[in-house]
Amino acid sequence: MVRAIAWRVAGVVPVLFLVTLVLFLLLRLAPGDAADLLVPDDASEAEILRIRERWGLDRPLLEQYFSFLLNLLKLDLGRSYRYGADVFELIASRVPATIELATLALLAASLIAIPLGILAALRKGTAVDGAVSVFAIAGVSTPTFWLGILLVLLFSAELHLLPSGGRLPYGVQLPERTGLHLVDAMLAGRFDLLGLIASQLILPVMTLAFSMVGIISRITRGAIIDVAQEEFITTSVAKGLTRGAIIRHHLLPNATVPITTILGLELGVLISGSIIVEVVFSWPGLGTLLYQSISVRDIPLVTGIVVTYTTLFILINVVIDVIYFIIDPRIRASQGA
Amino acid sequence: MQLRASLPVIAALALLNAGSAAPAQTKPAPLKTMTITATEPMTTDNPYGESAAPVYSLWCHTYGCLGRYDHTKKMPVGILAEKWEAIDPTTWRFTLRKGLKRHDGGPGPTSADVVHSLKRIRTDPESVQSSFIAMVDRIVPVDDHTFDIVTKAPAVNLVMALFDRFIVTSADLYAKHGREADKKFAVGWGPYKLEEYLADRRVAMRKNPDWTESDGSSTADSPDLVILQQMREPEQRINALLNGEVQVARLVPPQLVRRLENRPDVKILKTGGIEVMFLAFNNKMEPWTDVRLRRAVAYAVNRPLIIERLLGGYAQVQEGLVGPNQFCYTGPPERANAYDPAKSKALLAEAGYPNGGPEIDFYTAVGRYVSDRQVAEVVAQMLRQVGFKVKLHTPEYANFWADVRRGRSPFYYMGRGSIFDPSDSSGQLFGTGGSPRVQYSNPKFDELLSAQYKEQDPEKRCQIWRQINQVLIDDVPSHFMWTHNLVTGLRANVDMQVDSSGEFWLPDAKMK
Amino acid sequence: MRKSDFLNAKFIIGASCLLLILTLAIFGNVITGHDPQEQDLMSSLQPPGFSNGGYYLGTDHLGRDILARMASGARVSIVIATAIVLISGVFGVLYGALSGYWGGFRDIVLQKIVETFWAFPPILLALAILAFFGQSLANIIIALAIQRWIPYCRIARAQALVLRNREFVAASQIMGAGTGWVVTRHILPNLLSAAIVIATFSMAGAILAEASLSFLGLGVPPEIPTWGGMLAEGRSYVVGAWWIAVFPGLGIFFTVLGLNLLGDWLRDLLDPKAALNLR
Repeated sequence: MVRAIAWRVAGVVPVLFLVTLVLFLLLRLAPGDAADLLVPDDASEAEILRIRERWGLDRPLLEQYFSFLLNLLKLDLGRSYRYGADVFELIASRVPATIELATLALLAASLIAIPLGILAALRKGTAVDGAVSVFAIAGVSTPTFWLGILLVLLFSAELHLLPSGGRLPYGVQLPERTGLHLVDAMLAGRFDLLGLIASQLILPVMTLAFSMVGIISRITRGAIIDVAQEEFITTSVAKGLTRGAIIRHHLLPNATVPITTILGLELGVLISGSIIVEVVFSWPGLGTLLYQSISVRDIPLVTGIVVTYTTLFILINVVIDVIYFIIDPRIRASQGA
Repeated sequence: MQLRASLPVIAALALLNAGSAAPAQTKPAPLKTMTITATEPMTTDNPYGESAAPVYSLWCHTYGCLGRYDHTKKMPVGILAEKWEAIDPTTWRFTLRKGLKRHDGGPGPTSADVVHSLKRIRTDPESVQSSFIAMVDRIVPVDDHTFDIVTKAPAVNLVMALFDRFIVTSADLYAKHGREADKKFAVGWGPYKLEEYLADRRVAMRKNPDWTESDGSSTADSPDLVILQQMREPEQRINALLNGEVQVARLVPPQLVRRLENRPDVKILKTGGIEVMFLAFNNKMEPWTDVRLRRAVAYAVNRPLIIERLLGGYAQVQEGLVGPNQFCYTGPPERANAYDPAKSKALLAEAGYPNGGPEIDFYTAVGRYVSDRQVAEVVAQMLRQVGFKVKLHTPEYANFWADVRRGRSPFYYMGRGSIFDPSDSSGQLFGTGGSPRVQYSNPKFDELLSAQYKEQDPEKRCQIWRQINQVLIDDVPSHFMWTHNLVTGLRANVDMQVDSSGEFWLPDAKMK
Repeated sequence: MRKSDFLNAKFIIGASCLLLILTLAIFGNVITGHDPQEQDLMSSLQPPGFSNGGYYLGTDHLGRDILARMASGARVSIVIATAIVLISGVFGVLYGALSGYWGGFRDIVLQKIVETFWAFPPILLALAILAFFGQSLANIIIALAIQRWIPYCRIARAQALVLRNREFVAASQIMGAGTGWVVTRHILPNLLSAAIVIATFSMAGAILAEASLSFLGLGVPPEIPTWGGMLAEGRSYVVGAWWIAVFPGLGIFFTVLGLNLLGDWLRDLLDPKAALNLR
């Protein structure tokens, strides 16, 4: 299994190579020019030329790409055109905010959706099933930006219960160790801050989670029903096992493969798909940084962020594969063979 | 005034108050914190690394700049400079204020700091500000507090062009720490001291207790702590204001103003803007080489109707490059391009399109200016109604801008920000050999433009501007639309003015 | 309540939802005399009603008829969503099924390509495509489909990995069945229910993704009304002119509801083992 994981991690390299190559070509072929966007409206041609020269935008494409690759080997992602800062540092300062949001949203969604899905499957065809369906559909048919705007309207502007966005306000001292504020507050023993941090997380987390409750509960329901139709369940029923025992010992373990798959997929989608929620809530994460950097054609930063996403995705993949190994003996057998 | 802030915000404010040591000489009065929304990307703590009105304004408050234009008094006032005069057509002499103390207790600004700052604007690899300084040839120190700015050609507009953009930073701190000085020793002489710079998120600054206004007015009522909080989405700015998280919400779009109306806890502030919106033609591209077609466009667009029905009345029709909020405005022009669809149709027929046409591509920026896409949709329909066959394009901004800047866009809707003194940008926009965006060439325009640069008498200069403006209205190298009003939402306990560039001078702001 | 009744209820509600939307798409422009693109600034922001010049669902900020735009939007949204689901679903399922069934080196190579696509933040791919080739309907479809095949592929592969070790597959292989036969006979039928679940959701997702692109300013061109675009534009008018965003929102909701109910019904119908569940 260790070898399999090592193999998976090594697999990052070709993907990274492909991703950066495609990205580089895409960005270079895009008509927008970084130098045009960096200088003010009234800049002269000479000024634009100077900026282009400074960032090496005047060099041939391949040369730029190779120097990028060489630097990547040294874990140097270059400097952002727009921020004039080290890309690696910029990303590192933003990643925790996104991870905090995505994992909490996934957690919230799973806690709501998996029990709902199981319930719907066990009560298949009843009003409970129908109610869960409608709830799930409401979740998937609401655009996140729309939900976010409405939640803020209600909870901030009208009820004055929760802040409208942003992370820790100015003046709150919190030693950053992990960058995940909830964790940092606990590590520092600042339990007094937990309420404040949570109040800022609730709306964005709920907005993100709501869109996933639908798909996770549906997949859960589908998986449980599928497993319930397998021969061995029928056998168990015939053997007279109790309903509870069947659910615990047969249904749930066997339904975990599709559920894990969808959770992994959703986490990936979340990390990259949180852009909208980050924009709506001014959440200082990777998504807003990416959106910014694309709109100003900040190539090193865009590339750096995409490389980060790629790495995160593949890590998630590896984790899911490990979970497959653990939960499904058949996959374990096939990989061992 | 009771703030209806949310619990966590109150908690945060309480923490703030507890954490900050009040100046020794005053009793620990509650800290007046003013949070202001910001939209421009705040990307770098290098004071020369960005060029936009809000950025210049920020650094004017902390490091200090030479001066600013007071839009209420309608005159330039000094910040670090106390006196300035033209001593010959190409030389301006400036005197710096004495008795200022640097935030860290260091010496006041000197001519050496000014010379250093010019050098950084010109040679700092991250600087993008060299264009506003293009007219300057050199700065010659006369003594510690006096220096001459020598221009390459006569430049009557020097003070206006330079004043609030020339950020003065300390020469000796830079000599000691280099670029690190911007991060660790971001101290200057301005009325506020920079406390935190979080790129793309917020900037915090605290009132400088040693500061006095150049006219001696008191700053006792101005906020103690000012936070510029980045909020790009207009909905969020409104919600944060209504929730008491911010005290000042800037750039409220017209369709959201109604949410602030008739509420006891917020006020609406309306300021005439100086961002001129226009329909630009590329005058070298077909069919826009024909002035009749350009005029046909101008007569086809019903600006008052759009302002009233789509922009909620929050805009002012603009004739030519110089409007009522700008420098050198001398009243309405003799001839303007008012809405007249019959005239427009007649011009189209005369130009060879009696039965519709020509086919035109119309581009608009999206999400960059107030209701830009919606305006373009309305304009497109108005043009269709007189016979143009319009295809409306809504490209992503980077592409839009690349095409415009490279002169590849035949016809587009966009704005030109902060045209207070029209001479700043008119040469580049409409002069022969200017940028390829409009590709306009008219000897009469060029001649008048260079004449006004040499005219020392302000009244005569403004009369020349009146002629220039009429040329632009008659020849329609671009059809000017309007300037948007800047709408700002304020909490009821805040009293401040926003100038026509959208900025403000914090020492003038009052907060209860 | 007997099971068949419930199945019928699902079918009836689901079909009525879709019928409603289809009716709107086909006959909406007959009911209202207005053109979806025709602006009339003098009658902008009219509330819904029967006494305001035939604007039954009201008008938007440019004075365009919401009903007419709903009808055109229905057509466009249906076209976009169907095209995206068909392209991405067929491609994704086949790709994933083959990849999982083959396993080994071929699987690794195929999955590397999947990961490359997956690793791109969707917004970046969409942006790149829309930026190069312009914001046309076809490009929106390509931009959205190019990532949406991956869920099908992942589920298909996961199921194929499990299935290929089952007795019946092994038996077919021993009996000399070719890849095509095994995949079409054993793998694909077993994937169908999962694929349908994803497809019904993905259809909704496609409509919403278009809305999100509009929110970021990258949606379809203004000449083409879509529900997503209407929703995005209406967000500034929630307070004061709710109808601009609420009607397209309801359109999306009913479409998604209908699709899901029909999907469920179809799933139960297609599944031969449906009778053998835990009841």
